[in-house]
Amino acid sequence: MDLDTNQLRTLAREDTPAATVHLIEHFYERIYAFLRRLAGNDADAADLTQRTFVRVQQALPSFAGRSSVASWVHSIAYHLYVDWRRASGRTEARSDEWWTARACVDLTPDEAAAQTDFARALYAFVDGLEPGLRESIHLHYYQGLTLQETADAMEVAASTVKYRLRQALDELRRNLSADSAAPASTRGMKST
Amino acid sequence: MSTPDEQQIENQLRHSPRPRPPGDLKARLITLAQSARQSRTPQGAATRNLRPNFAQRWWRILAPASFLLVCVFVLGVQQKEIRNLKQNIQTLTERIETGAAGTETDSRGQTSLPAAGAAAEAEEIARLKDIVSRLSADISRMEQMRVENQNLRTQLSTTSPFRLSPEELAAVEEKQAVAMRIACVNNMKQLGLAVRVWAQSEQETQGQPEIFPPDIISMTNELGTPKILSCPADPGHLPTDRWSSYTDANCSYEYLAPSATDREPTRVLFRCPIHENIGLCDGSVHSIKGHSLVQRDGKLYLDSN
Repeated sequence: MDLDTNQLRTLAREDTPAATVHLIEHFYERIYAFLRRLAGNDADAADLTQRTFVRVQQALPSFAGRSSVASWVHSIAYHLYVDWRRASGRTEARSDEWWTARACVDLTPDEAAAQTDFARALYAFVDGLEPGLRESIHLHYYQGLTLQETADAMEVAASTVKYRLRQALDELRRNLSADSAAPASTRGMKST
Repeated sequence: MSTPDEQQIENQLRHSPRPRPPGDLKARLITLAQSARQSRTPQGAATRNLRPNFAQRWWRILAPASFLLVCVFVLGVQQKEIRNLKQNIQTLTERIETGAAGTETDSRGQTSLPAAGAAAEAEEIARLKDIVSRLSADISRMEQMRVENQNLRTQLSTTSPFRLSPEELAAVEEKQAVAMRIACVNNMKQLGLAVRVWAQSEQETQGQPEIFPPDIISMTNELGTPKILSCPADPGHLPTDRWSSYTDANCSYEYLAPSATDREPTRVLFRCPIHENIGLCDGSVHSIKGHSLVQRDGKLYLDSN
C-alpha cells in the first residue's frame, strides 16, 4: 500500500532513517524490477537501486509532497538510470531477456501465459523502442504508475506521456504485425 | 499469429513478469539507511523538483497571455472614455442648439435678439472692412516707398559725389601732408615750451640753475595731454589721451637733451623722424632741410653755418 504523503513527511521530519527504511520496505522490489528491466543485469540494477535509496534518504527532508510517494521515488530512480546510461554511453536495448531471468516464482496463471511467444516478442519490441517511449511503457505499464505519476516521475506533462504511450503502442502494433507475417526464424526481431 | 489489438497489448504489458531482487538487497539497503548519518542538504541541491510548479511550466504561455489581457483591458478603458467624450460632445451640441432656438421663441414683445444681433454684426463687419481697406492702402504706399528706397540706394552706389580725379586726389593728399607737417611743428613747439616751463618751475623750487627734465614722463603736468607726443603722420606711434595708458609706443618724437641746460640754445632738444623737424633748446622748431646737424661731445647741435 502506498504511503500517505503527509505521514511520510511527518516521519521524515522526526526520523529520516526510519522513514527511509519504511520506503525501502515498500518500494525496493518495484524499484529493483524497474531498474533491472532497464539496466539489463543484476549487478547494475542492484547498484542503481542502492543509489536510489541513498538519494531518497538525502532528499527526504526536502520532500514537499507535491506528488505521490511512488512517483517521487520512481522519479529519483528514473533520473539516476538516465544519468547512468549517459555516463556509460549505452543507447541500445539490452540483449538479455529480463522476462525470463529471475522472474517471480509465484506466477499467476496470467503471468505464466506471458511466457508465450507473443509476450516474448512484445517485451523484446518494447526494449527496442526509443528511450523516451520505452521508459514511459516501463513506468506506466510495468510499474503500474498512473499517467500523472508517470509524468511526475519523468518531469514532463501528462499529455506528453499520453502521446508517447500512443506512439509506443502504435509502433508495437506495427512491429507485432510485421512479426506475425515474417518467417518463424526471424520472429521477435525488431523490424526496421 | 494474428495481430493482437491494443487491448491485448496493454493487458500483456500490465502483466509482465517482475524480476526478483537478490535476497540480500533489502538487508543491505536497510543497513545503509540506518548507518548513514542524516546529512543536511542545502536548499535546492541534489534532487530535482519532481514536478515544476505551475508557473515554471506555463510561464511561456502565461506571460504573453497576461500582456494581451492587459492590452485588451487598457483598450477597453480607452474606448469607454472615447464613448463618454462623444456623448458629452453630443449633449453640449444639443444644448447649444436648443439654447439658440429658445431665444427665437421669446413671446414677451421684446426686440428679437437675432435681428439686433444681425445689425450689430453688419455694423461690425463694415467697420472691419473699413480698417482692412485702410491697412491695404498703407501697405501699398509702403511698398512704393520701399521700391523708391531701393532705387535711390542703387543710384547712390553707382554715382558717388565724392569721386575725384587722380589730380584732385593728389592735391588733396598734398594738402593733408602739409597739414600734418604743420601739426607736427605745433606739437614740437608745445614740447619745447613744456620743457622750459618745467625747468623754470624746478629753478624756483630747488634754487638750481635751469635744468631740463630727465625724461618726457616728468612733464605730464606741463604737457597736459599725451596726444601731442604722437606725430600725425606716424602710423607706428598712435596717440593716447590718457597718461595712465601712455607708453613709449605712443611717442613719436626723440627727446635728445635730457637734463640739459638753457645755456646751449642751438642744441637739438626734440627730433621728429617722420618730418625731420627739430626742436632746439631755445624753443624754436626748424626743418632739417637746408640745415645740417653736428655732433659734439655726444650732443647734437644745429649747425648755424
